[in-house]
Amino acid sequence: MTVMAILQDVDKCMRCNGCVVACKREWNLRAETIGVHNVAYDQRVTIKSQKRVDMGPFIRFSCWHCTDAPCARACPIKDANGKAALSWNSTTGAVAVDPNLCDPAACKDRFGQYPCQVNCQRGGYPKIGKPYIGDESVLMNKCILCAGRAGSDADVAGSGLPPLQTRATAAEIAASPGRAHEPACVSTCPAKAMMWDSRANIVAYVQDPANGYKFTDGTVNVIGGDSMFWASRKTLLAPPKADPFIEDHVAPMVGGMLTGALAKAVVLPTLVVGGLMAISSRRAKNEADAVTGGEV
Amino acid sequence: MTNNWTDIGNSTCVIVMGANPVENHPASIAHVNRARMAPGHKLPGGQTSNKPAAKLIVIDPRKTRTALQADQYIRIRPGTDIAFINGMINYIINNISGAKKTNWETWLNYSDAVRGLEADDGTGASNVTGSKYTDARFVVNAAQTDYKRTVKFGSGSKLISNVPEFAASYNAAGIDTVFNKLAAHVAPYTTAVSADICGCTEQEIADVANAMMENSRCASYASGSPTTIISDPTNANYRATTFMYAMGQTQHTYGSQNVKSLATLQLLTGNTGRAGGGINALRGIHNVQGSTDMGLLYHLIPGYSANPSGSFGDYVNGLYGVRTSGAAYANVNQDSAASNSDLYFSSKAIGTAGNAITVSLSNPAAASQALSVGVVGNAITVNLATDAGSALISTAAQVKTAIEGFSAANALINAGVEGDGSGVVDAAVAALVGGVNATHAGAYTGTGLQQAGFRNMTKRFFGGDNSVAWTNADVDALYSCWPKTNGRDHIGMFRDMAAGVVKGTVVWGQNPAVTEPNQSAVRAGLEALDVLVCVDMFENETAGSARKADSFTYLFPACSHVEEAGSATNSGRVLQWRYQAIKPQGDSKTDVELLLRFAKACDLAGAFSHITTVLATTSSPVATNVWDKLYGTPYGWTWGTSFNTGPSVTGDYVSQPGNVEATTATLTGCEAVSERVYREMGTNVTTSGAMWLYTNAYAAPGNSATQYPSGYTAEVWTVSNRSKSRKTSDAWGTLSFPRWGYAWLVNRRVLYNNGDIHQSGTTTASDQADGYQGPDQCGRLFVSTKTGTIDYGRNYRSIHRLADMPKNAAGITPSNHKTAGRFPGHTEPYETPREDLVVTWGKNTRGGVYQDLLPSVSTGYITTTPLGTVANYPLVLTTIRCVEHFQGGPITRNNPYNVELEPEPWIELNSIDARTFGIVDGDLVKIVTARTEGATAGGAHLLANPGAGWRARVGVGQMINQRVGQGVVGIPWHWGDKGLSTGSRANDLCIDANDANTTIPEYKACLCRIEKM
Repeated sequence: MTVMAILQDVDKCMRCNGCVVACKREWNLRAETIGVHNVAYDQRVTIKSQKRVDMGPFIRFSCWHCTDAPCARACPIKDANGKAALSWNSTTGAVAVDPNLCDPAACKDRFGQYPCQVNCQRGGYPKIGKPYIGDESVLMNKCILCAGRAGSDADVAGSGLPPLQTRATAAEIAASPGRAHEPACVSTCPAKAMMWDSRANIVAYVQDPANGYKFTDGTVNVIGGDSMFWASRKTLLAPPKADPFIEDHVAPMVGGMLTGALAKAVVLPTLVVGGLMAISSRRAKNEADAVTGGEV
Repeated sequence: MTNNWTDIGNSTCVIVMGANPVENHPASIAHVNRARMAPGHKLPGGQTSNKPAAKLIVIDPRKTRTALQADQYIRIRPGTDIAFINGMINYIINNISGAKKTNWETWLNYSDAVRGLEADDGTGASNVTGSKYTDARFVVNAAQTDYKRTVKFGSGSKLISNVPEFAASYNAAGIDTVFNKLAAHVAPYTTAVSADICGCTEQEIADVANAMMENSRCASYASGSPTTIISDPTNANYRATTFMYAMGQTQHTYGSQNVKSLATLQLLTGNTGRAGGGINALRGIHNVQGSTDMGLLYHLIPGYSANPSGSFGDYVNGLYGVRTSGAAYANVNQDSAASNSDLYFSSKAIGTAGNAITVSLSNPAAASQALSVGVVGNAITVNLATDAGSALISTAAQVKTAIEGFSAANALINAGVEGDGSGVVDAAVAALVGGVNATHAGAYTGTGLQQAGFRNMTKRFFGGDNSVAWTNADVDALYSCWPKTNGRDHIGMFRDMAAGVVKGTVVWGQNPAVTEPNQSAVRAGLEALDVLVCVDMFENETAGSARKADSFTYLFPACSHVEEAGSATNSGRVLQWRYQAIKPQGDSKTDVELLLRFAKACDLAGAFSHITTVLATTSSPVATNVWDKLYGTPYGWTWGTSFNTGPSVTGDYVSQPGNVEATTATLTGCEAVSERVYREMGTNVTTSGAMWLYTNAYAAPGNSATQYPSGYTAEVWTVSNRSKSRKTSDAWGTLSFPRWGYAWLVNRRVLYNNGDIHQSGTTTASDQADGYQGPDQCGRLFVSTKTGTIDYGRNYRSIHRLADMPKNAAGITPSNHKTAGRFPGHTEPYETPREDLVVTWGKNTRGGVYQDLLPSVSTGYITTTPLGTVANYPLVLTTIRCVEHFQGGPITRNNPYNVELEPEPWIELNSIDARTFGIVDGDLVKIVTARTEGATAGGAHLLANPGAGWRARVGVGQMINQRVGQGVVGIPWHWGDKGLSTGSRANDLCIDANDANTTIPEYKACLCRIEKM
């Protein structure tokens, strides 16, 4: 099993929401949460503007698929073998939910919050809602990297689900078999802003100076980790730690999308330099937002 | 598009002006991203670039998401594009220097024999060396209406009439060359003047001009050899600028002039006809290029041919191809006995009524006759010289000399009314050269592309079969079935409905009750109709519009695009087949079936009886009924059988993209009918193809010697229906992918190849022969007022002039327009916040009275469109689109996913105006224009429903980072009162003043005010 990952080139994203609709179509998710740039409660991926009022740069928000996932650790519902309803699946590389086990009604705390959401360090990606068209039961729902439908031919064989398309060439698939079937969000992207490859290949790709993400001072302008990475050639990135439930122009969530030498010098120490793991401080930021009203 | 989508990747400077590809053409941005890769940077696909990263410049009143990605964003006032472009041209002329200037001058002066003007004898021989690239050296006549014309003798004494004169150099002192006229025309557009008009800075105009000078043909050289122009787009030193434009350019009363200004700039800088260059119109629907190809306009038939008029021969003579009468047959050295009958001039009278002098050119009475001149009364008679075989041997110059040398004739001339003593004789010579010819024999047999295509189309449309050996008389009879007049333009049509001139309307796949401007006039028109027929997937606003008592409204259920098959022609002119993914659901039907059923109903009602009558006089009269002959049999459908299973044909089926070989399959239903339609269009015009632009889109597999690109044999066509070809290989790394689909014309991926187009690393003669296919064999900076057929050169076609003229309120063309109407000049929108500029620059007109671009009833010019002034309406309203919704909205506003993402219309406002008018973000506001509030004195204009209002989105932060600038309101127009998402119609507000040449409305600029609801 090769752990696959998604890289989003932030410079190319234009928030057409093609990935969002492709995800919903492939997984039969509803469209019923009406609102300007609101995010449906069951939405697995969303695109958020990192500046004011839809002015970009646009960053993709979805589950990072942490290997030691806090949401899975917090999941109180376990089967007879002690396996939680929410767990990192070593076969698919995704943090996935067992729909037969998950029972939001049972784990909801007295404030109406769910342990998986509360404990997500990266934006509350597990969603609770009525996920599937024709299925009225309330379930936890989240990105599963199109498990069973994306990856190599072997990965999708026997899953019983229709394999997804790819844009990779035959040569690229030969070099990296996991590209034979891409997640719906990646293959639909008209800007070709997303890349689907093995985690190792993506790490090598972003660190290769020829590809422009590594600056002359040695900074690799990449954030993310596990199975979700973001990179930019022109905008210094700060880790996304947003709550996708909150509309960005009501309360901008990230203030770190800064450019210019001074800003870079100031912000750099807070960023992961040369490495690929970024730890967000969501709670601290939320407190700061409470003071500033989120305006940056 | 002159180029195509993939070719944008070859560009080193992408200028987006009046378009928003990121939101409105999202798939296109991948090609821009390809161009923007820095050297060595790899795309995920593994491609690398060796050229510098392309600069992306966005010039737009609104900071779109495209602008967010740009290297430079320049905000201009809505409707000031020409002022910006002319400012750039002026700046370039005054500032280009060094090696770039040398290359640029060479470009403008270049001439060669290969693309010289060809003799009019149909041999194709080049006789006069002509300009290679542009008409910069041509001389403009004193009236500024046309080039100065002359008679020339080419090699072999072949005579070419009406050849434009051209000067020794593009900027020859004291001569009115096109370039000198253009330079004088743009001289008033200093950066200061243009910046004032546009509301930008002088530096911004200079920045874009400098970027173009750095990224044009003149800069496309290696450092060591500055005069060797590199034409290989894969070379690291290759430079080209492309323009991407869309409705921001066209939706103005001077939309055609806007586009012309881009063409002028690109021709002048040599970017036309080069990889990564050109001007690229981003089409709003995947097949809108196909719809215009098919003549879905009120003044055209398929193939951009004008609506037929006059006799068959006269009409064909005006089409692109070989001239069937006129100069070709007046070649005085013509020695083909077979065509002698075309040479006889029988008493051709020249002169206007009341003129005492006429000159008659007589046909020779006998073989071997000398040129002779005589005088009878007030007429000068000329007998032309012939050789022993009765072929004419007089030259026009000899005739002129003979007339002027004959004293009686000369006396007559000197005593005549033509004081300058030249007019009569010149007219006679012109008659000799221009000739008169009645037979048009070539019209029935010629192989000129557009001509042969029209002939086949006539046979096919009205005879049902172009394999029948139709006689010339048959063709004339079938031609008589063509409607001979223009229809009504789309805006005036609604006025005619309201006036009772138009009583019934079929609306097929359109939603004018959302998309047309000044909706109260549209509603009044729809309401007054006796019969309204709508064909759509959903009950749209048009089908649901209010109707008068005792009227009928029909809604036919069309299926979606994935439920039907056929070719679609994209912006880059590439035909691609779309298979029927699923059969039509429910009771819905494909457009093809609906159309054939519609025709059947028309036939049953007797609407085709005139065709039956005409056919009865021909070699192939109707045996059964006319529907079977014209619609049923040709497409394999027997009336009464199931459409989805009845029609059948064997054809290509390519299941996957990539280099897969084609398989053959039995196609049925819509696949079979569409395949037959495609073959009818795409077969070579020299056999039976009815659509000249698509000639060879259906052809035998394999590569032929004459295919394009010539010399490209790496991939071979393996299908006959080339729109189904899905081979992904590239030709010489030029991003042209010539075996993916089929591009008109004859698979050219870049039109107007100026001879620079790279082919296997070298510029070869065959590339040059590609040439400009225009009538001048070169690009035209100057637009003449001459209409109709241009009468020199072997490759004929009609010249479509731009007919507009700037005028101010006094009815005068302001003196700032040095060559008014012939080169693009700035004019103000019909509703403008800068009335002061109307005095000095005017508004555009059709050439008639001031503001004659407002719509009226066809029976007389009385407009009912109210106009507002800046005093009452201080803000400029400009319409915008969003990524989530599509055009008039029936499809996306009925799709839950799209509605979820963008459920309601809004307006965009900047923070300063918001404060001025007391609006905060999220407020519900009312937008008021003269159309929604001000009823005219006559009361003919109805007060429109202002709707439910719009949600205000107010910008924050610095002005440059806000969507719209001060004084501008942006408004999306996709909404109406049907579907899952409803909202106020922006087109209640918009003005229906429309472009002088195309009648596209001025959606992009009108005046409004904003009120909190």
